[in-house]
Amino acid sequence: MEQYLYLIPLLPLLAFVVNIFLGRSIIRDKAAWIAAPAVFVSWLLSLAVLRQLYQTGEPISQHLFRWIPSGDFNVDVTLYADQLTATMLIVVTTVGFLVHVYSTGYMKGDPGYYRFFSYLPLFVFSMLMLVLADNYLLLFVFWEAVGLCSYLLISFWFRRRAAGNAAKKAFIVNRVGDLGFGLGIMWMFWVFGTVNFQEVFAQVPEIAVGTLTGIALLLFLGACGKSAQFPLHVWLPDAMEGPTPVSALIHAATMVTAGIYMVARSHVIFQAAPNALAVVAIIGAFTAFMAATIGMVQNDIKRVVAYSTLSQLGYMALALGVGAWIPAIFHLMTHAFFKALLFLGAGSVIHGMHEEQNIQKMGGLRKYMPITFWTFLIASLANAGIVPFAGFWSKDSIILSTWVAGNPVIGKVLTVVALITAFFSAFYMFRLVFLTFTGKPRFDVEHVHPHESPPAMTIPLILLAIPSIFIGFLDFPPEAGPFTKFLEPVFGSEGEAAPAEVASLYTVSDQPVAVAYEEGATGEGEHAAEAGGHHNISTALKIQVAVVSTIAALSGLILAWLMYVKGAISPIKMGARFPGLYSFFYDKWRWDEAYNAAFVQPCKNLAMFLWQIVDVRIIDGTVNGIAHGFGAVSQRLRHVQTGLVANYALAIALGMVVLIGVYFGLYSNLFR
Amino acid sequence: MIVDDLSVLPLPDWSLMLPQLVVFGLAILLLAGDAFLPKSSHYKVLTTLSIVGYGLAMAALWTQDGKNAPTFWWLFRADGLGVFLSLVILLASLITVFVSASYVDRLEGRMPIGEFYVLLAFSTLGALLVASAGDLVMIFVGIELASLSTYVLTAFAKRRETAVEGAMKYFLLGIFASAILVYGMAWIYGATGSTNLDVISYALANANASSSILGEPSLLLALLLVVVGLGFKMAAVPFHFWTPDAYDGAATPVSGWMSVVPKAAAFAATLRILVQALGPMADDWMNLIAVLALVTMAFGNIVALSQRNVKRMLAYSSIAHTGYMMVGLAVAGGIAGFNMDATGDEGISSLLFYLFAYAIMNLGAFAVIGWVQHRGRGIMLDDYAGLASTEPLAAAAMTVFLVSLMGIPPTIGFYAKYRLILAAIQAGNVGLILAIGIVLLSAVSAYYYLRLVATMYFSEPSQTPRETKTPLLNVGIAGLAIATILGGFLFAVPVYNLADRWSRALEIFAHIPGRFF
Repeated sequence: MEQYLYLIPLLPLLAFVVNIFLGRSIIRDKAAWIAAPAVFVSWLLSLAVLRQLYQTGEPISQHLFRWIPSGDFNVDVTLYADQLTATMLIVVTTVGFLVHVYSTGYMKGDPGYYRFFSYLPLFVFSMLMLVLADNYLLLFVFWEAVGLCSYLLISFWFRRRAAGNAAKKAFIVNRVGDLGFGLGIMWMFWVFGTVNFQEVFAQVPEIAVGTLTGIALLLFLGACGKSAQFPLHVWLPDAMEGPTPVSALIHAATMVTAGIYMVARSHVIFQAAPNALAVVAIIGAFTAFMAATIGMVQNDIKRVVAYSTLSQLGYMALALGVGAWIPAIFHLMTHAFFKALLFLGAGSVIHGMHEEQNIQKMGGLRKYMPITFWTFLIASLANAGIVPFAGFWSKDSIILSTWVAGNPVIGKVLTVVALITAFFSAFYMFRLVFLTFTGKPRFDVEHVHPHESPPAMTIPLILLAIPSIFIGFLDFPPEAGPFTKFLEPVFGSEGEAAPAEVASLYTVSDQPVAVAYEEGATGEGEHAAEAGGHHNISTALKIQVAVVSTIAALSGLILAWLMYVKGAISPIKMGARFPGLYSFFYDKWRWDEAYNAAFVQPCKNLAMFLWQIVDVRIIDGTVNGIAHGFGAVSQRLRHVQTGLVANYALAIALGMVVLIGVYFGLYSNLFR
Repeated sequence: MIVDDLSVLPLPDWSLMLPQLVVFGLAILLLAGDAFLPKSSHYKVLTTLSIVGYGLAMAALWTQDGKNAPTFWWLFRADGLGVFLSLVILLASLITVFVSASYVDRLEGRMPIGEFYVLLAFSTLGALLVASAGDLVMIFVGIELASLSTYVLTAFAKRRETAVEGAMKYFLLGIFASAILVYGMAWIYGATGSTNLDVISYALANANASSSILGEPSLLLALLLVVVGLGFKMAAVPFHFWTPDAYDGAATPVSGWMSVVPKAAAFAATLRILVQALGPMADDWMNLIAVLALVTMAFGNIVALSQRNVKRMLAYSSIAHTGYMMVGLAVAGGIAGFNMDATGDEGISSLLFYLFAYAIMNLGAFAVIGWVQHRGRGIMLDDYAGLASTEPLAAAAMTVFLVSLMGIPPTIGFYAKYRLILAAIQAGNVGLILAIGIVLLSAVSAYYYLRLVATMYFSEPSQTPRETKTPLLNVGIAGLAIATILGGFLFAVPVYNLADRWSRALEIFAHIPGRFF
């Protein structure tokens, strides 16, 4: 497989090149026939990579060329595939291919059809390169490339002002994170002298904790931007202005998980920096909670799903923060399938409802679009975390890992937050399902005739519904299933930091994380003993946690049923009872307004100042002043040219006299 | 020159001055043709003859290349410096034939083309003799030969008052300057006892050792008088006053020619006298030239800003370019001296290359002015309004020349200015100041060059062009435009390397017979 690794990203790249250059003139509505097969072959090759890794367990790498050869700073373009990469490859190519298929139906007849099928494989290429990169700089390049694709695809319908603004917002907010990421890479190079993953990780034990914490926090700032964690989460809901397949692929299943992937990839650095990990956990839990509260009151079908994405990404970050790397990646994978399914289902609804997105104007769609309903229901069950759907298993292992995390304050408090969020998740998912598909139609039945989507769209829904149901069993029993075993070589015992990880994160211990880490660095033996704690999570505890989280999810479901099907509790009355809270949630916690007042307006004022005062008055004034000065001097000097030949001769004679006078005074020996 | 015994003097080697003889023969043939051929055939025959003659002379230059030998008792020398300068002069004359033929023949009341070519050939010959002179007397004779013909050429459009006025001013001031120059030469002879450049240099170098002559007021006076005289010829401030009036008055192709060939002759004389003969006094004249260079480029560029007559604007621009070229001279002094060998002194090489580049781009700009005049437009800035929409190719060519004069890549003007600035920077603090001066004043110059470009491209056309055919002129402009662009990268380096051979000029020194002293 080593020698064919490059084909995985190359094929989508070729599809992009062909479609972008020939799409407008020649290929046109056949563009999907270039893009989809390319991604499909990449998928097959990714399966081969997975198979080889499953059999041998040895990471695959392929050196392509040296990109930056400059003295001490050498960057290679080397593709590197270990178990983590293979998981990501499968997620990206599977969802990528199904979204391609779905888009052939969804984008049919769009004037930018070829453009869509150029950007989409370009994104797949960039994302594949991102996960295949073997060093931070290459990862960063494609980190930016996926950002670019996201920008291009959010603003795909660029004639819509909202789409253009959303694309700009996504790009600019991501700049903040990328600045941190870039600084982190620079600092890393300064400290380690390399940006290669393996070389950096090997040196981690020699570096001071403070330095590692700084680097880790900067890297996480980058992850916050890409994976839409608080405080950089504001771009993701707006990104729903893009076509729905784009939301499914980029803003749910793959690109937004790049930050999770990057932190997981850097786990060696993070687990050596416990304070940074604590930040990650708190940010993740807060994002999950906040997004869930917002998602409960939104009325736009895509926005609800978008906030649920934010919330689930928060779960993943929480898992990372408590050192539960494998559950984080597991949730990443399950989420990719059921969230893509949710988005594609939402797209199908929007398609069938003729571009209507407000769920208050839907209802009773079950009988009009049965396939969409059933697949959407499966995805919702998965997202809500109901046994035995995919989301249950991964969310459950995150909550379990949080409960047993080394730091009791963080661990226990965040577990409670995660459980409340699980309750909210189930509520907003089923509020969505009930409002959309059940009850009486609230749209104009006379004029709107909902219809089931074409097979090109429903088949991907069905294909995605299968993993949404079953993929959770990949890691059964939880924390010890085949998925955990498969990924363990990546996260298990790498470098000398591993004991510290195990000690600080998996031991049911009352020690603060930092203390645990300190001891991890000093006393090896003690932790070798504690390391066993990982496997000592009792089955009883697992079942307890599973039961509690199921109760939380089910009560959310039941509440939604009571409010929107049974009508026992009036949602309007609920809203009226807590008007402040309701509008606070409805207005998305007013982050946009706060950012506008705190950053955007001051920046605008500064820009106005720089433009009108510094640029126009000072710089232009200086330049124009000099120009006017020269002009004035020129106007005066031109009068020297009198036209009288006597004056000219006088000038020559005077010039001669002056020269001779000066020279004789300065240089001759007459006056010495 | 002190010669005891004429019988031991070697006979002159005529073959060494083949190019000069070709031009001389051309002048005689043109005279004869003008006298004996029927008037109707003058245009065709004499134009062809001139083109062939200058072409042959350029080809004959290769017989001089690498010779480095004196003849005519050290009055004349075939050396690298002379070859390069001759190349520039002959090229300029050849191009002038291309761009002036139709103008002289058709505009300003049909001037007599035979006389025009004869004067052109004699003036060229004078410049060539200066370029290859080995003696002060030869330099003076050459300069006068070139100047006298140029005075007449300036007045050639004699029905126009400004032409006569400009020529008159040029002539009066010219003889004034010549008198100063020859007075300076007399002082040099008085101080060193010779008019031979190499002997002067030898005498000064020995004096340098014993420090008896240097610092001597007579020598300083000689130096200053020579600089004033030459400064007039090359149009350095404050001896430049004739330039705008003469350029404005002369027929346009003559203006272009005047801005190149007499200037090249003046720089040739300056190099011969200051570097070759007075090289040992370089410390004395270096700062003088530097100050003059700075004043010249500042004055030329600044006054050009307020000109609305395109020919006057280019006249001031040519003053500014004189200032740039004097920088090459000023920084050459640092390493100059009679014992200078082919070390990395770039000052004079860059000056020579600049002269070459300047010849191409400046002749091109004047050629376009002539071309536009053929189509019934004037020479004021407003006459160029909207030229790009009625005459796109002419506007494009003019833009190329102006961009090159500004010194913007990829044109030959950029490379020339680049070498000049490079040479200046390598030459220490004075050079650095001069380099900064070139850069800043080039920025000033961009304003008036670009104003013309903007007028051509962004103003509404005010005139409808007159239909006319000027095939020779078209060929000339096209060739110059192509050379201006290609010269920026294609043949810039070979030509520069040729210019770099200037240093061979002084190799002959070692062979001068002892009895000369």
